[in-house]
Amino acid sequence: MTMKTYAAGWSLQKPHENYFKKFLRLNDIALDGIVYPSKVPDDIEGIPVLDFAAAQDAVTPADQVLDTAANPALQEALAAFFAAKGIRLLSVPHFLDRLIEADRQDALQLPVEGIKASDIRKLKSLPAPGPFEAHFHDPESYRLATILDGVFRHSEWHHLIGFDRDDTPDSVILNMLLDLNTQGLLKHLVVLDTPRLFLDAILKLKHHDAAAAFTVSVSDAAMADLGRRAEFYRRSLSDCLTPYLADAGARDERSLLLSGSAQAILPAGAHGPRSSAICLMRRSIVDYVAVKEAFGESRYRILLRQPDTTASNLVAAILTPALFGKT
Amino acid sequence: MKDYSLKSGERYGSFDLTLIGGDHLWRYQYVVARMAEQEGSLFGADIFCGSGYGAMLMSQKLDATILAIDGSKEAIDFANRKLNASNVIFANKLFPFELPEATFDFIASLESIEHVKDFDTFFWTLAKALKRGGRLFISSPNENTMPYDGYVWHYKHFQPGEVRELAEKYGLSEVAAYSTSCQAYKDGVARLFYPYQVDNQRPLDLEAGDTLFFEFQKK
Repeated sequence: MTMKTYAAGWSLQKPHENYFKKFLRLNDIALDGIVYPSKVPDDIEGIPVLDFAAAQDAVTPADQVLDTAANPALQEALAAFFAAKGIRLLSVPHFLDRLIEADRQDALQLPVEGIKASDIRKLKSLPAPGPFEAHFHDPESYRLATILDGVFRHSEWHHLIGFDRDDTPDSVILNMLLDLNTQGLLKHLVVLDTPRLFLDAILKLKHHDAAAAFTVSVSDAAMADLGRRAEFYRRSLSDCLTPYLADAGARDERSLLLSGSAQAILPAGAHGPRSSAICLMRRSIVDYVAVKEAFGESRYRILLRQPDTTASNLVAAILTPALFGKT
Repeated sequence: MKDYSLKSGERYGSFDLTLIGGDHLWRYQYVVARMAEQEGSLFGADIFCGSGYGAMLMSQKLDATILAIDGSKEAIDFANRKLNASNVIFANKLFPFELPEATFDFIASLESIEHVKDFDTFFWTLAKALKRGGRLFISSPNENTMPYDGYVWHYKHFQPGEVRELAEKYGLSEVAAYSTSCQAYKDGVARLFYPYQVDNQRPLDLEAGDTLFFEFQKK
């Protein structure tokens, strides 16, 4: 007999299970039914609804039943119904954990692009971020790393809803630049990619501090990416635009790299990156682990901010001694 | 006066695309896909833009400058505070307002016309502002599947024929017509606002969903 998968209740109206629902869609995983005490309506999201009478016959102890009710009273009624049938409800994180553990070929598509099941298994093999790890720039960054580690280590994707704080990557990046500018640490900004995101933040920064005395260069690829808009930025930043030096070794060591991905700022090799950077951590805590591994024993500080519930919007500022004029 | 605050319940108060209903998101993604096929730099409008997540999406994905207008000052202030995009101009204005004639390559007016008492003048304003060949992307609750029940934020829900009549009256030809769904149905009628479905980020046949969506072209 094939094991079927049912849902005991189904979260309505609230976005807590958005990542789980996205995961089901990405992987074409169909649920065999949603069980409610009574059948209203016939189906939800195309999944048939079974009332207790129908579920009594259809669901067997060989099946798995997910605990997906949002309402505590309903959750209790469903748990009691299934307990009487000898079925213990399975939490969504536990269900996901099993799938990820079994996915040795990395065939599953997880709901954050670029993260594979093997990345999660690797995360589980590492210690969780600790409060005394010296590289966290501030307590908020440590707290954030701990939460995101838990979210992905334990497949508790629903906890991402805790970041519903109406912020944006635009705003976080601007605030990071403003803060570094206030400290006198902005000397030279190098836009490696994702040019509009960073150039628009720089333009807004110049609204805040018209006297700011940094220079900006834009990689050839980023300039090409701007297409017809390139001239707008050339003119708007004409007082601070300088030629791009492709050879990283030829750049001012106090340069701040700006990139839409952590990978772009992490060169291969045994030595940690020398330049500081602000980047998006598209793979969330998995990118944090990659940064930590790339730096090894090198000195650095990392500032992390999660503007919203979109995991790929995690922003990091990685600060090295070079930014402070030290080698 | 109506409540035009950002969190009145009639706007997504966020730029977080994970928290936007799939059907709402799909409509803007459709606009992006269609207008990306056009040559050259575009001038578009987002009427009414709410928090501005759709204008943000269009500004990021298109070679376009977007004029994004909403009646909520709080929503516009929020957008200006939280977005840096130099190719979006956010403006706060209640309808009626005039738009310049034959100016826009495209106008997205999504989840909007049902909020306007003088919907005829609203539609005329949008149609007049399009360049010849310009596109209007417009949505409305479908009166047939989601009958207007006096819902405080809306003045009227539309039957497909009513939207088509407005388009014909003001010189637009129909390019495409779809629907989407943001409700759970009972007995064929939308009953429960339900924006986070597994599979609502896609088009349905015009009469299948609770919300009509049209693409028109200025003749």
